Amino acid sequence: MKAGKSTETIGNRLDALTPGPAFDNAAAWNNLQQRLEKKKTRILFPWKWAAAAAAVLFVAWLLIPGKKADNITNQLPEKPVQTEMQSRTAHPAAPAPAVAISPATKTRHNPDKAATINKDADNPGPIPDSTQNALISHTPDESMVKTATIPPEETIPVPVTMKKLPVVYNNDLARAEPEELLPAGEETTGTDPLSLLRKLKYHNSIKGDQLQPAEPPARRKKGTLPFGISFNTKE
Amino acid sequence: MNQEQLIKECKQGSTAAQKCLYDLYAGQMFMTCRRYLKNEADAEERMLDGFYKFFTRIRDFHYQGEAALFSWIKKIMINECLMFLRKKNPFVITAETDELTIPVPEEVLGKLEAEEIFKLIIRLPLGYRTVFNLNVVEGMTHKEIAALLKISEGSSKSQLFKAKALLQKMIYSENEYYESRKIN
Repeated sequence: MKAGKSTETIGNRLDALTPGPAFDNAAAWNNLQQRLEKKKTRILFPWKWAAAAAAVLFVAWLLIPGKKADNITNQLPEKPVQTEMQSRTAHPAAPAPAVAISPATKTRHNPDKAATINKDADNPGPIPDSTQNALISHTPDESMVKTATIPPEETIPVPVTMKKLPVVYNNDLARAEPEELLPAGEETTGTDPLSLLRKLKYHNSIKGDQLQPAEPPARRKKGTLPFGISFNTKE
Repeated sequence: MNQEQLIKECKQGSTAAQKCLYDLYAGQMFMTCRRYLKNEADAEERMLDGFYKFFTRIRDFHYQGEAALFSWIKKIMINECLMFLRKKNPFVITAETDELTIPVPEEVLGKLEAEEIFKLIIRLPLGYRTVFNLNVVEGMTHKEIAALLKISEGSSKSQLFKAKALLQKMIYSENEYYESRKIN
């Protein structure tokens, strides 16, 4: 800041000025105090809420891990079910697992039950908890677990594997000599005209090389009609 | 209670200390704001904004004497006024002249009463008034003014020149009393 002598005096003199009666100091102070109080409450308010939220979260954290541990212990018996399934594949004769079929699936064969179900639908009662069903379906049957013992390797019958025959693609058969392809017992040698003719026919019909014409057909000349009359256009 | 003690108590959040400090500087700060803003209500509002900032940021302030405290509060007030002016109507000032000849000698202003100068200043147009206040009253250089108002140095000089010319016109034409003082 540059401050000359005259500048300083003007500035100082102006700073020393007091406001007139129009300026209400008390009202202005009240206004300012209100703003400052608001600021204070604004600071306190989030802190209070944050503290309360933290407390709630802490309590929840204390309670929830216990429940989680119970869930894990309930889900542990899922492993034996898997072993049972393996053994069943090895022994097709093993009893199938008890699948809980709801009565609704049997309605076709049990019309009476269907009627009762419809009646129930008319008078809806408390809705069953679906999570309970899920838990029941996942819990293994003890009797089944007991029977599901894995037999030793020797007793397990090895399934007969289908032998896959190799497929031979022999296109040379078409080009083979007719003597080889002729049925046995027929003499190809000799001067029998019938056999020779057959041989020739076979040869001509099968051999790929002879299927192609020796020469391409002669093209019709320009200005030549196909039915014999010919004339020159230019001459 | 001295000002240092007041500042300490303000830092602790004492409303009484805040009131004491406010009473000490409110009048002066109101007049400072009034020099920049024509409307009294706007000036009062800016002054309150300035004090609000002062009290909320007082923890960053290190007391180094009464003059330092006064200049800090005054700086806050001036910044508040300039921000308000910038929001309302930005300073689009173009340099029209680089003439440095100032028609109004400083002695003329020196002979006038503070209140008379104040009345003349608040009659100036916005751009002239702002540059005049910053340069003549606050003692800022044109470079500082240019940076603060985001205008060129030439524009600042031009505005000051025009402000002084207008002041001279006002002094000489409107009141014979001023003229007689000048002659004497």
